[in-house]
Amino acid sequence: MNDQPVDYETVEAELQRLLDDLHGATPVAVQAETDRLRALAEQIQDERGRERALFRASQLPRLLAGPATPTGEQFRQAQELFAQAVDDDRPADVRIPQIERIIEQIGVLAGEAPVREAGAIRRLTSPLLRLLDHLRTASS
Amino acid sequence: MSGVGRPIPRNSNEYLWVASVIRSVEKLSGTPSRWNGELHEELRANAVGSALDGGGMTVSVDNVLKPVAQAYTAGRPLTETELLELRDAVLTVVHEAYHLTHEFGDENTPGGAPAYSPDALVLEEGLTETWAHRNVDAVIQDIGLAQVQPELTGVVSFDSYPAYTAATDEVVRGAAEISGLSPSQVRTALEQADRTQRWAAVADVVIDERLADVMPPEHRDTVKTQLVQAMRPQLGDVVAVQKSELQSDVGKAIAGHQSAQRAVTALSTTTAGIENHYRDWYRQQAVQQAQQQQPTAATGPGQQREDVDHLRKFLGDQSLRPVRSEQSADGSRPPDNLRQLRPSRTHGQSME
Repeated sequence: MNDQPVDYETVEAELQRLLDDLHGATPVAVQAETDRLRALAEQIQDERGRERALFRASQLPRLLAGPATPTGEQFRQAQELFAQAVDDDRPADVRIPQIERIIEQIGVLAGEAPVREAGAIRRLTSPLLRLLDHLRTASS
Repeated sequence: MSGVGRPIPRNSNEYLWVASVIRSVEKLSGTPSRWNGELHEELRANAVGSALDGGGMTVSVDNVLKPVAQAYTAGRPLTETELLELRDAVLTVVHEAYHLTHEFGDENTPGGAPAYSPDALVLEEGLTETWAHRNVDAVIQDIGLAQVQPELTGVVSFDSYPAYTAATDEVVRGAAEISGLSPSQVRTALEQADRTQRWAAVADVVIDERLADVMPPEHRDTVKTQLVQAMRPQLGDVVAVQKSELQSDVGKAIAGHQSAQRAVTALSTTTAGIENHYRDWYRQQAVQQAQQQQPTAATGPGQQREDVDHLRKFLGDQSLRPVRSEQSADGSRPPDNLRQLRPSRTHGQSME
C-alpha cells in the first residue's frame, strides 16, 4: 500500500482483486486476507465508508464461496429450455414464437419451484427478452 | 407480442429507485451506463424484465417493483419469503444494469463474435452474473436499502447460470495462466471489453504478454482471429450440453467443465504454436546471420556479438541452434500467414 488515504473504494478494489486471486486458497489464507481487509477498512476516516468497508471485508469468505446453485427439477428443466432457445440457428420467424413459448414455460416452472429457487429460474427469461428484441430488430 | 408496456413515470418512486440502482452499478463498476433513461413495464407475466440493446430497460411490476415497494412501505422487517423475493428483485436490476455498462461493439472487427452466438452468451451471462452476485450487497448498502431492511444482505442468493459462470471462471483462470497475468487482471480486461469483443479481449491479453515481443505488430489481427477461432467452438459446447434432456445434472456439469477446459487448452496450444512459429523464424535468421558474419574490417567480433545479442531477445534463453525452416523460401522476412495448428472447426453458430 502507498501513503494514499484509505477510503471505501480502496477496500472494495482490494476485495474484487482477492475474489479472483484467492481461488483455491486455504481457509487459513482466506481468514488472513479477511483480517487484513478489515484492518485496512479500520483506517477509513469517514464513518459510513468505514462501516460499509468493514461489512464488505467480512463478506470475503462468503463471496469466495460464490452463490448457491439451484438443484431443483424445475431449474434443471428451465436450463434446458434456455439452452434450446439460445442455441438455435433457424430463421428469426421460426425462433421468435419458440422463444415466446419458452419464456412462458420457464415462468410456469418458476411458479412450481421452491420459492428460494424461483427467482433464479425467472431471471433466465431476461436474456431471452433481449434476444427477442434483437431478432425482431434484425428481421424487420 | 412485445412485452414492452407503458413507461414508468420519471417522477415515481419506482423509477427513481431503478435509476439509483443503475447509478450505483455505474459507480461500483467504474463504467458509464448506456441506459437512455427509458424504463417500461414488462408485460409478460412470467418475466422479470431486461436491459435492451437500444439502452432502455423493462421491469416487471409484480416480480420486481412490488417487492421493492413493500420493503420501504411495510413498516416492519420482511418475512423470509419476502426477503427472498426482494433480493431476487434487486439482483434482477443489478444484473440488467450491469449489461448496460457495456457497449455492443462491432462483431466484424478482428476477434469479434456475434453477441447472440451461444459462446458469446456464455461469457456475457457468466461475467454479468458473477459481477451481480459479488456486488449486490454493495449496491444494497449504497442505495440505503440495507438501512431499511438490514436482514436483506444475509439472504442466500442463487446463481441463474451456474454452467456459464463456471465456464467463464475457467477461461479467466486459464488465460491468466497462459498470459502470466493474475486472474483478476484477466477478468478486468474481459469486463472492460465491449460485448462482441470479449473473446478478442482474451486473445489480446495473451498476445500482449506472450507474443508481443516476437510478433510483428501488423500480424496482431491475424493472430487474434486465430486464437479466438480456437476457443469459441469449445465454449459453445457448454450451451449444447445444457440442451440435452438425457444427461444428468452431474454429467452436464462435468461436460461443461470439460468444454471450458478444452477452450483453455486450445488457447494454450495455439499460443504455443504461434510463439514457436515466430521464435523459429528469428532463430533461423540468427543462424543465417551468424554464418554470414565472418569478422571483416567493417564488422568485427564486437559488432557481430551485438547483432547476435539483439536477436537473442527474441529467443528467450534458448541458444542459437540451427532449426528446420518453415518460413518463406528465402527466409528473409517474417511469415505473413500462420500455420494451422489445429483442425479448424466452424465458429459458434450465429443466432441470426
